[in-house]
Amino acid sequence: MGKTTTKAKKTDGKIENPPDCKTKGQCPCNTFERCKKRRPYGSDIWSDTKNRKSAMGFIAFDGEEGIADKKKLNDLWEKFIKRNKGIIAYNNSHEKKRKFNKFFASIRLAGGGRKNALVLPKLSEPYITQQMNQLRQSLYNTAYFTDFQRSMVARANLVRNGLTLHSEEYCTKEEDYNFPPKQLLPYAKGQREEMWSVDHIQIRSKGGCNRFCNAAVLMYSDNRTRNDNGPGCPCIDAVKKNDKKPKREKVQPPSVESDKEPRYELFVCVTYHRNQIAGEGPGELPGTCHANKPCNLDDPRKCKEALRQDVVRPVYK
Amino acid sequence: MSNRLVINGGALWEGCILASCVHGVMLAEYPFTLCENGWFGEIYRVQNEEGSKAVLVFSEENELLMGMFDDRKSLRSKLILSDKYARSHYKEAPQEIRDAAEALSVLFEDTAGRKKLPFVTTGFWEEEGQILSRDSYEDWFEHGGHILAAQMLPFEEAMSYYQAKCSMDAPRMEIAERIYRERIKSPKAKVVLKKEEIEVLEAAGPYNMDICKEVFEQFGVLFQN
Repeated sequence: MGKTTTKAKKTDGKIENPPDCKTKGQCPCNTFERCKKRRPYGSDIWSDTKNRKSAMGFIAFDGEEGIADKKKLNDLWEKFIKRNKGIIAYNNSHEKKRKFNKFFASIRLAGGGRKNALVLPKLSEPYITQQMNQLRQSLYNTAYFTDFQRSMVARANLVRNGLTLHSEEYCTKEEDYNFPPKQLLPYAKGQREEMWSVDHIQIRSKGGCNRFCNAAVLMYSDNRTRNDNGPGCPCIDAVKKNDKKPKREKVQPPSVESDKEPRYELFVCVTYHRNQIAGEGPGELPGTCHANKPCNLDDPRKCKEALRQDVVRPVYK
Repeated sequence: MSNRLVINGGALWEGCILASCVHGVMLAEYPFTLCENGWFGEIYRVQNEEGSKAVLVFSEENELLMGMFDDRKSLRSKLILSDKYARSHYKEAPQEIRDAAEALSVLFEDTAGRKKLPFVTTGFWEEEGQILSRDSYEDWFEHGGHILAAQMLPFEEAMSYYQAKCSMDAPRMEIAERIYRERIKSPKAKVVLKKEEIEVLEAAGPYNMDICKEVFEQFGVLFQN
């Protein structure tokens, strides 16, 4: 956890409710409730046997339609390799080089034309379980989604949308940050506005965690537009580091700590920070983003179990 | 006035190589990360999921020459988007650096209305063996330097970071470590990815080996025939 410029005071580890919260008990605020009730992303797909099988399978898609037929994909692959070999031969004998084909970036489709495409390999159940177990160590406030999580999110989105990628609809009070659902590019050679990204619903820099329940698919450019404009985690006190700038020095040697500090140094969870200063360990963190809190059932495959235990309620469509 | 940034260029190059080894070994399984890490000759480029990016230029001897950063989460990003501002980060640098910065800024262009303009939030350059910037170390880190946080970590810490972030398993961590160690031991020599190692990568993503090979070649790692 990054350092803060706010003065830390010793705490007994009690939960600090957000400023707009009137109660003295466990935080009942809307934001907190919303977080608690949201289902892990893709649980509609991953907890359904048939859909799960599709999501775990070999998936290729070109931005318009899925290529589920392995034979068809093999044919495309062979053509692709052949074409590249042709380019290599051409480049060896010509001064002006032709661009080498990258991956499936320009496969020829049966109907003509070329599309960007992405191939996600087949997964096994034990492999996903192993990754889920590994993931438990990497879930925390302000963390990025791991590559495995992004792959799980993309697979669920693809299966849900008939092997095409679509962004989620965002409806907020602030119209500038409302985004209608859009069809997205699966992959591009360079940075493209229409590419897909996995967004933190509760803003990452405001304490949003990297659990599946905080993930949504959003167009790359919309994600950048959204930036930090959205809800934060209720346990985060968004103190801008710039509020109190340290005195500039001529030569500023990097401290070991500052080198290691990840991006979330701008915003820190006050309770956590104070507990650390007081040497009390993480203690009872507010919010649901805690390993022992109900949302440790953040495995999209196990959502039905969670529902049976009445831990989460299906608010996510 | 320029500030001296205490950045160890050699260690940073090694960090970039480690990041590239990790990226290469995981690419077959996660091909959507393709644009997030890459080399174009001596130019290293890294981009995070939020669209923030950093570009470093090294010499043929792997000495750090300059860096350019676009941090989408920087408070500066809300204020400016102009070629003049992009240039201002290198205002006090020698002419050849300023020319190089102008050329490099093409990689940072973003759409502003009908125009495409460079979006640069901080930068640095090398001069007489020192890394200089208009920003203090802290400001540089805050407005873009943090994009390289993983590349600046010591090896062990970086590996545990990558293990989590890139969802790495033990066999691929071993491969990444082996090629990394060989690569930094002899920066000029080519490193060969052995057949059995290629098989491990291929098992995770058989259709993506072509691009995987190309990405490894960018930083001198070749596939065994």
